[in-house]
Amino acid sequence: METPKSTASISIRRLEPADYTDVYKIFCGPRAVWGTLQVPFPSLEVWRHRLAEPPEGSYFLAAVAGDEVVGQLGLETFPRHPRRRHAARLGMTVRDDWQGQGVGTALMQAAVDMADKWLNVSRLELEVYTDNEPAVRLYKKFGFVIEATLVAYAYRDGQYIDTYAMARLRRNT
Amino acid sequence: MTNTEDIQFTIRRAEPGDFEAVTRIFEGPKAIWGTLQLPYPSAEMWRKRLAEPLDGYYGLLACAGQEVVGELGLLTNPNRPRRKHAAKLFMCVRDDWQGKGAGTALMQAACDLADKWLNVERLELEVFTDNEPAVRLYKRYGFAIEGTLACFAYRDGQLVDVYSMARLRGAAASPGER
Repeated sequence: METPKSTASISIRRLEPADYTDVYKIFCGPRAVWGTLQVPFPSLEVWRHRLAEPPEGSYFLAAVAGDEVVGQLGLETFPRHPRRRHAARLGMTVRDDWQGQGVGTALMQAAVDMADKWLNVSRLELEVYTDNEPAVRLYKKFGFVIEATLVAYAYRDGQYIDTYAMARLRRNT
Repeated sequence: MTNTEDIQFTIRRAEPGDFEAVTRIFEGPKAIWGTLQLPYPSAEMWRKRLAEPLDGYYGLLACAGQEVVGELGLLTNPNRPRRKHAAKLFMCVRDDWQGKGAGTALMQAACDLADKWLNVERLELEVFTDNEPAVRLYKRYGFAIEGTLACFAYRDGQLVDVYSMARLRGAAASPGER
């Protein structure tokens, strides 16, 4: 068990355009690239642009330790698909040197509260590489179940890799 | 009774000028039932969509004579380099032309395009679990059910499930090489 860098010091706030350098740093980590659909050698300019113009209906959260953003989570709703208004998609990344310290849990708790209590999302969905065990464990802890295995979903470090499609349903609404 | 053997469908690329015919497809209750569209389609929305297709989108039409009776879209991932091998497929046949081979003609053309020209190794789609004719067509073209996404969309007053299906070829189909 790692010594936590004190989870209590992690706060969640909205990710702002000015955070792009911190987000860029997150994706400089090989583990972050490994766990997402990003490629090595991230572009600062791409991240500046992405944070400045987030897609319609998306909510990005930042996990802050000290004065640094060490994790980020995006919740994307489907404003252009009225028949999927009850659903949202989730994606997250924790900076390599902050993995396993509770950052993901803090982000996920905030996202789930936002989805359940404010956005009235009854289906939260995500995709995760089948071998990303810490992430799968985190998602299961928050009630996500594996719905499908998408074979050869993405290319990663020289080979195709499968992902799980996972979802968390609020049945009683 | 129509003899399905006799119908020849021509497949061609969807053009901006086809928006009225495409709107007409989505005036059918079955078409709406089987897709993520809403009743009362907007011709203006379809005009825009056909005039400004997404990056990496290939829209095909099935025509019986001059008439557009079905449409299919193949969406590649030009902006996601790690999913360059994959594409998503959407299709819809006009209500009065369902079960007559238009879907097969569209699917054959799309698979040829994906396999022989775009080098797509993973073709994926979503289909409502109770849309049996569609599931049958997809299975015939080598799609396998990868899982069931529960309460995926709202349809006619209730949330319904979809199958996530995929058709693999090349290295994506051979675990040893992955």
